[in-house]
Amino acid sequence: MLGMKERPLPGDRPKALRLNRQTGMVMGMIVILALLPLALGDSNYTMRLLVVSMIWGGVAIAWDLLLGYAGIFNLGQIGFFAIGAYTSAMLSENAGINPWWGLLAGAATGGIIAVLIGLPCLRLAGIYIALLTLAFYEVLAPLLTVGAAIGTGGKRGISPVTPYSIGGYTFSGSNQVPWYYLALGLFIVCLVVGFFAINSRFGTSFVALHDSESFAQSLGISRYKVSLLIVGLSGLMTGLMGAFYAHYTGVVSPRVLGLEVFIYLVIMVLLGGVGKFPGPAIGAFVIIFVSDWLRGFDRWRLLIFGALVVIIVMVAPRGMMGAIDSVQAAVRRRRESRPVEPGAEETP
Amino acid sequence: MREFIEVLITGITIGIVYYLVAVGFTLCYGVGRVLNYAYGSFFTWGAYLAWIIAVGYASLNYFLVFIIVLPIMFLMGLAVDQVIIRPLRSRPEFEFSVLLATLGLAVFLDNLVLVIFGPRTKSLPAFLEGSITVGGFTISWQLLAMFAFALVVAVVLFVFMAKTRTGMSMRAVAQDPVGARIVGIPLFRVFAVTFGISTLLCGAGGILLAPRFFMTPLGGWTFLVKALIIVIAGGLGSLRGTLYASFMLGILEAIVGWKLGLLWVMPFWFLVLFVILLFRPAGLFGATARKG
Amino acid sequence: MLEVESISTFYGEYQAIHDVSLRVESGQLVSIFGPNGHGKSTLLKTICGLMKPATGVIRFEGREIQGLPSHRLVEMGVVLISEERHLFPEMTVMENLRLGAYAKSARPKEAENLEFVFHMFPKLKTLAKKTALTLSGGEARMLAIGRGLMSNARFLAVDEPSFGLAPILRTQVFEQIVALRDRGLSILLVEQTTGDIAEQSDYIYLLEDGRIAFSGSKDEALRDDAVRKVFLGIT
Repeated sequence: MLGMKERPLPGDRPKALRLNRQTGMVMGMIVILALLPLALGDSNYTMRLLVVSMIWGGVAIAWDLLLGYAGIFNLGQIGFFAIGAYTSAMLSENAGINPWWGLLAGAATGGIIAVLIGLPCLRLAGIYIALLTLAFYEVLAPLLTVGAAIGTGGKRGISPVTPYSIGGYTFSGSNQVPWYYLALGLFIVCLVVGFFAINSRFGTSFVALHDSESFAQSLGISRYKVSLLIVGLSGLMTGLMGAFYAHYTGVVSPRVLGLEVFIYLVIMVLLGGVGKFPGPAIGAFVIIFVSDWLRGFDRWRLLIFGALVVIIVMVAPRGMMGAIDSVQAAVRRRRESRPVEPGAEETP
Repeated sequence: MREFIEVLITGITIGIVYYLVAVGFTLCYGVGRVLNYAYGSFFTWGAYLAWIIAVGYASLNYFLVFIIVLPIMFLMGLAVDQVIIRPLRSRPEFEFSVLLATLGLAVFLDNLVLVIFGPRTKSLPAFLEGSITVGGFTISWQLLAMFAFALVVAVVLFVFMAKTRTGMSMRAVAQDPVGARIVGIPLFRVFAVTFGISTLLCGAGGILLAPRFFMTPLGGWTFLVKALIIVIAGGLGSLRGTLYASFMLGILEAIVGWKLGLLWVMPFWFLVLFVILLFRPAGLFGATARKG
Repeated sequence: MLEVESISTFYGEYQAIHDVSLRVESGQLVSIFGPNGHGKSTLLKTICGLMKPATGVIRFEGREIQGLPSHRLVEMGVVLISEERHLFPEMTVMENLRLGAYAKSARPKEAENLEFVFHMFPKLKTLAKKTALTLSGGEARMLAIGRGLMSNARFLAVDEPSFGLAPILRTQVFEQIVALRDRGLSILLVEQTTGDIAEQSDYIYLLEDGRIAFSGSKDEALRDDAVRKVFLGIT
């Protein structure tokens, strides 16, 4: 079937170690990100990049839940993002609702639409899931464009989109710090949800389903229900980030569904490592910064990214985290095979 | 009423061209198990290559353009298959990998067009001017030529698949790859040829439709989506379904474009797809799409 | 004609065949018996290029063939008739047979072989225009064998040809196989358990747990009590 199942490689660490590493990385990321603004001080620009990284980091994790863990080949992930963004923007601009509610609404609509898509898709074979989610992704942009009548803003989209405000203070573009910590909060939500989805008993039952349907069924777990739940969570996280994105950038338009955005997401997850939580989030940071670094090479940038995707798939399909895994496995193997004389100490 | 008939004729013509494009896509998956994300980019390349040849060299001779561009497209397909797809076939997660790889390829090819040709819309002028009036209906020569060329390609393809050894080997691989190996069919060669033909068909569609649609570097994506919709609506793996769906949707496009404007075409296509899937989840003639 | 030396084949981590060696001399009918799931099909698939052995050597007429892709083997005249048949479901009987002669070495003899197949299985001729999907079990089996013969084989690996067939058809199929041997074809036959074919075999192997548990001539097999009782069904 389609789907990049995380097949245990000979070098893979046992479950407990994996858990530790995941926990370590997540905690590390949170701590570093929390403290970073102190070191960066005034650098609005860098903080902007970090905010965007966190947004996409969350989406990357959400997508990887489906791709790398559930084996669901969902090509419509960006669709959930756009739905979250549009929901929040339309609520605040057309209905005058406080943007803070938009976060909830965006997450909710993201999750609901995801489940609605999942209902028919999950009963089908892998290729159909890919085809249908691709169709969903492609239908959104035209729909949003002709939907001007219901307030989607048509081709131009909606702008400006009201920023958040807390007790009198309104977020603005000139001071990135409040945005930063809000984004960090949302990012942490995604990390935590992702972590538990993968590692809880619910999550492992999920991986068990992937490996052996009959075994899992004997435990009374319905693959369909669990898959739907994961899809819903993924949609929820993505919709949440989408909603934030709308108010952060101050504009939503069908362009958010463009290929550029999608390819960025793909390369983030590939680079980080499909099915290697929290690799995709790290991939997001790398790609955003690399993309900024290549800022001057506008036309060439996408050319390079396209080629990069092909190269990564062919050469390093398990991404950065996979490469690290392999290196560590090789080191461990060498250590294990080194003869130890009786009485000699193991060299650290 | 007269206008309606003329629109119908346009729809049928578009339908047959769409059929070529959709068949290429189906072959790619049916035989090679490749979901070619770069299909739209090949389409664009077909159109742009035609543009270079037509405007630059062949002074707008349809024939020449076809004869020159189609083999180029075939070779391009072969190259992509050998360099990118074949090495991935040994992997267990092949279908997934190839999908991502072709996605990267698509972005690469699109931006290559952008870099080489620039972002502005190009247009391929119609190959033939003027029109013919038959029994009260006016049909442009261009449309007739389009229909004729597409028909020829479709017939050649049909004969090829039904009668020639290579064509039969492609069908065999699609129906039972292990059986194909048992019988001595060299799989990799069949995969390569199939991908080449798929690319060729896509390019043919690009050439035929270029005068009708404005050419932009990203223009091919619409056609990937259209091929996708046709294939899903008709039923993955069913050539008959693809045929019916192509004509149905081609005619729909002509009518919707005439009455509501081109912007509404895609939403209507999706609506029809949705309705079809509601009653026949596997498409009109699809084999069961259900898991296990 | 065919020599298999110490081959082992794996499915991922699972070892299906352990260190198996066997020989088929030219013009022999050699049978492999054994319980289901013990590696018989895997062995045939390995010999015919559908699977790669992890270790060991396979020689056909002196040339090493292990690891070669199946289409090359078919060109050489090494043909598999699979238990699962793997017919082309949407093609007619005729088309299936014609595709059997795909290999370059088979094409010049296509007409001749077709006639031979129809002679051997007259029923196929009447079914020529029917789609393979619509055939009954027995008819499909005949088509699978017929298609295999179209490849102009010099060596046939036949995997459980009688599986699921009514007794009358079974006998007929076995008779045809023996007739093929008598015409000069070398045949390696895999069967679960049957008495009649044992009588006609020139040599017999017993495959258990992916290992050769017994090898010997038909007479030796008949003398071995355990083999006889459990697997050959001869009392």
